[in-house]
Amino acid sequence: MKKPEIKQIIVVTDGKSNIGGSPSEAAMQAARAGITVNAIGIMASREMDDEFLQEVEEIAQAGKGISETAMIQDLGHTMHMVTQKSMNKTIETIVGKQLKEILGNELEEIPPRSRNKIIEYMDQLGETIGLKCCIVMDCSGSMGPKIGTARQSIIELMNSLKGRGGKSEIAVIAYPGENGDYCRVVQSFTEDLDQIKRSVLTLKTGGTTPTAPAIKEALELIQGEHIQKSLGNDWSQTPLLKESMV
Amino acid sequence: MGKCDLGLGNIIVGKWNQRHYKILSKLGEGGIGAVYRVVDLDSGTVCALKISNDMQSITKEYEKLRDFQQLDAIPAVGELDDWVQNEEKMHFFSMEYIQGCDLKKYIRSRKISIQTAIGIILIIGGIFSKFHQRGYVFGDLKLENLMLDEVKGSIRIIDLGGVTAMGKGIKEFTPLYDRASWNMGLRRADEAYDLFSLNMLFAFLLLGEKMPNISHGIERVRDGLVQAGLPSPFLRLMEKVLYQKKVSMNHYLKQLRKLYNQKLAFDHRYRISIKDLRINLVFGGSIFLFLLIIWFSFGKLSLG
Repeated sequence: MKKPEIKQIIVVTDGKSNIGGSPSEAAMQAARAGITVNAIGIMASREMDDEFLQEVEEIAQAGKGISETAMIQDLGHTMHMVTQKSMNKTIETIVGKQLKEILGNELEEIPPRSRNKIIEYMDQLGETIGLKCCIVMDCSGSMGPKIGTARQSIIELMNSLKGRGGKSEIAVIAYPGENGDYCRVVQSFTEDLDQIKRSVLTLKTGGTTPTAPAIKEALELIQGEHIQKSLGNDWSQTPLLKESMV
Repeated sequence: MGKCDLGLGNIIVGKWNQRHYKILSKLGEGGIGAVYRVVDLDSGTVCALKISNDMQSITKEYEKLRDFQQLDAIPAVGELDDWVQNEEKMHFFSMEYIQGCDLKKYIRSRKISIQTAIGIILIIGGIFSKFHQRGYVFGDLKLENLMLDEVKGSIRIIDLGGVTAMGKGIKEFTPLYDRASWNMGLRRADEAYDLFSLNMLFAFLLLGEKMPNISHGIERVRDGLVQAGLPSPFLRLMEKVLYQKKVSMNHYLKQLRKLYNQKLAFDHRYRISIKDLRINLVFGGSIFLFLLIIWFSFGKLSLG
């Protein structure tokens, strides 16, 4: 039997998507495939850009994940929190279902002092369960001065996940890609911290913000291990072709 | 996420125990939830309430508080309950309200001596050792979580949200005190993790406003410490901890205690030397007086 595994995408962005279709539709596709999509909006200052914030929230909502905003210097901490919260949410759903089957009760219907055993069990599950986390990193022009901190945040997330007992794999997708591509797989799933350290150095900035195609690429990367490559390719390429015809 | 804003005078009713709490003021807010000063309307006692929509965190912290109740530094814990309002499910626990000032505010208003800073680190280190003996690390150390209790006249630790069993992943932390944020290792509960944060707290106490932030890199912390006026053997030990070279908590605290006692001895010596000075003055004065009398008598004699 295959061991249970949590799969999530973290979209990190500092501006509204401007090419390649709707990011929240892409997030919805991922959620349907059982992959949680979280979104972090990097704020330039404390003042709010409503349209941008709304898009960040919509991506997370459609992807059944967590949305958060952060100043660039807090990105590392925020990525840890978002991953943690989203994992807890997934585990709460899984355990909640089992609980309902066994006891016919939800956790909230059990007196607070009796919940601890179940919460400890959920904690243990979160500690040992396999985790696949694909980071989708905005590398558009405006990220230029922030990319150093963004690289460090990815390394930090790996140090955080490796602190757990369970297997943790990280992949990194940059958008836009190079030579006019919408996105580029900077690092496919790996447990190797040194490998990640090397590959994040190749993150370069410049160009547009094709958030939707990048989310689809992440979905394909996660599913790639189960579904035949060609099938995934066709399915994810279709909207891109439409986009380029416009 | 995890936050709620409650106004002055709002009443919280526990779903299970039916206790009523009236909000008096907001004491603080963290990543998980908010803490309020409240009055328990049934008993009339003032206590603190930690409220959040994160059931896991609240339940776990409540259990940790109960597990470590025998430590005086930890607030006495009351009850755990839910509160449902406008379809939103909140979770809370009550605990002792500690009257006083947190260390962050305290050091902003006045400069503390190296001796006092060492004293604080020794106290916290002692508490940490008790957690370690029971197979846990403290995790989320920061100045804001240390209270100067005005009533008991001691240092109290108010947030156990970061307490983690050894070997597990650290979930709640504050970047400035977290070795993974400084790129100095894994976010995993081990003795060295707590020692790193304790060492950072010490650096913070010594450097105050001059404490560098993470983007400046760990080298800047070391450079700051060089100028803090510590004896060089201990400076080297602090450097080792910064770079996460092997140092045991026990050894660190032992060396720190030695330093503390040396300083005390130094102060003591200083006091003795003042006394010496006084003795010299008295002694010197009496010789002078003696000579004066002789000269006086001699003068009188010669006159006569």
